[in-house]
Amino acid sequence: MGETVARLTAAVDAGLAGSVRLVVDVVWLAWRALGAALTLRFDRTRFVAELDRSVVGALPLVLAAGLATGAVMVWQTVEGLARFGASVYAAKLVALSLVRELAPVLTGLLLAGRAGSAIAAELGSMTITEQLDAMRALALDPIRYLVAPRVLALAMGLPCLVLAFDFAGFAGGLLVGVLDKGIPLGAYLEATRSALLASDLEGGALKGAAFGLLIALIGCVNGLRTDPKRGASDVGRSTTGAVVAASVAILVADAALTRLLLGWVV
Amino acid sequence: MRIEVSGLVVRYGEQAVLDGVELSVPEGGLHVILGGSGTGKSVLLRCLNGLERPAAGSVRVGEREVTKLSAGELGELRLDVGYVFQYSALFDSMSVFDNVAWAAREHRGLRGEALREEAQRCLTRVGLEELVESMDRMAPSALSGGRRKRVALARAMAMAPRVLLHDEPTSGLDPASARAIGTLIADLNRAEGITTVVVTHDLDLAAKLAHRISLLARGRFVFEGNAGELRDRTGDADVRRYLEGGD
Ligand SMILES: Nc1ncnc2c1ncn2[C@@H]1O[C@H](COP(=O)(O)OP(=O)(O)OP(=O)(O)O)[C@@H](O)[C@H]1O
Ligand SMILES: [Mg+2]
Repeated sequence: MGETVARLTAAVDAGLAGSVRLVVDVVWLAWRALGAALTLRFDRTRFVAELDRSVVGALPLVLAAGLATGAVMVWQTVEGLARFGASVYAAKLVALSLVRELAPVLTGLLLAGRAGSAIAAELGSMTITEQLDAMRALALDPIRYLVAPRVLALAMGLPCLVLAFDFAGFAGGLLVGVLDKGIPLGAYLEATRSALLASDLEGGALKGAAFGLLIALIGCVNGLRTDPKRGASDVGRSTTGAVVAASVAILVADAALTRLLLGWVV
Repeated sequence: MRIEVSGLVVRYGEQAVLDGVELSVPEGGLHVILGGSGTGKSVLLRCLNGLERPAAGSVRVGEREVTKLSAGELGELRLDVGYVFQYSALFDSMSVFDNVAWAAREHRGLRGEALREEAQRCLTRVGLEELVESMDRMAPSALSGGRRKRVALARAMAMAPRVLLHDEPTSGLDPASARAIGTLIADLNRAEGITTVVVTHDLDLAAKLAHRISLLARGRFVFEGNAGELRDRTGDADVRRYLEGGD
């Protein structure tokens, strides 16, 4: 029993130490990547390539997820609200929760799985095959060519994907509300319009930018920390670690940002 | 540029991989470092261009004390120091052309036709003129090991370096390719005056390149001289272990 507790404590200690190290590394990398970005010393070609791969490439996924989420939310909420003859409020409810919470968080989680893992795996396999060292040996700064373009692309691209998710979610909700639940189209649109403020959309986009930053930075940190001595298995560990850490970071950051944004609006 | 190493110590945890290495290579010299597997040859080479930070000792390359350089100064040093990695370390998501041309584009400001010509020159210099035609399409992964080694050398050459560091230039090559690479290394050293350090466990290569040979064992050099002297030094336990190890 005592031994189990000791092991548990040791595991918690290790977990905490790991989290602290991750935060330190992320902050350090963010500092350097943003430095490169602000002084325009980052590779433009790679930035565009990353936008194309991680952002444009994720668009179908994000649209499909948005459509499904919007549809499900209307089905679920209309079910409850119909009892009070208030079906049209479903549109308001869906609009608000979608724009403020679900779109940024779900887009973030999807991208953590899609882009965060790709970044960690790519940088990880470059590390174990000495390609990172080869870059350094050629006086090519990995921050400038590998990290900054990815961080910028995701920080700028994620807000757009969040808006795409919003849009697809409205469409999904509208289809279900109007076609299946018989809410009049005009009423549905009016309810949505009156529920939303511009600041809701901005808040969602802001969350998206923050999540994009976290996904790219955590992906890069994990990829760069891959241990060449352990080889391919460590690339697997880095990749999993990047997705898990980014997902948790997104949920924690979401809580913090939600509190902050609510404080602003009210 | 001359290379001057003294009292070099590299530790991983408790274990000292290098423990007091002394090395001196004059400007334009060619020095071969021999040693069995895992004796720290790659680690030593990595110290010469600052990829590894030693625990103690000094590494002078040209006028610079490598162990004391900032990140920016290391970048400047590396413009002069070409490094050819043991496993080539080519950028596998880029074409052969981009591999060779990247550094020249960034550091020497070459663009367009001038850049292509430089890449062609480097590929031709390492005996890969047949790749020039397809260099834009060819992926490094589609090349044989020997050609990858040559592309890696061409990539280092594109920096117009004054020092070249070769890590196991002949490992994994057939004897004919190995001889060709040996000839190329000697030729680059002689014709262009590039100060060269070659790390290898291949005694034939060492004998061919000759000039000076050091044998690395137990963290330091246990022999210095030419290949003939090394073969005769059978009374020395470290030399015997290396010669008989058949590595
Ligand atoms: N980053 C590192 N962390 C821990 N140990 C290391 C590290 N790099 C090298 N070593 C250890 O240092 C020793 C020397 O490694 P090195 O790669 O220099 O050997 P080598 O002489 O180049 O061998 P080979 O001929 O096989 O290439 C090995 O025991 C290796 O395990
Ligand atoms: Mg080695």
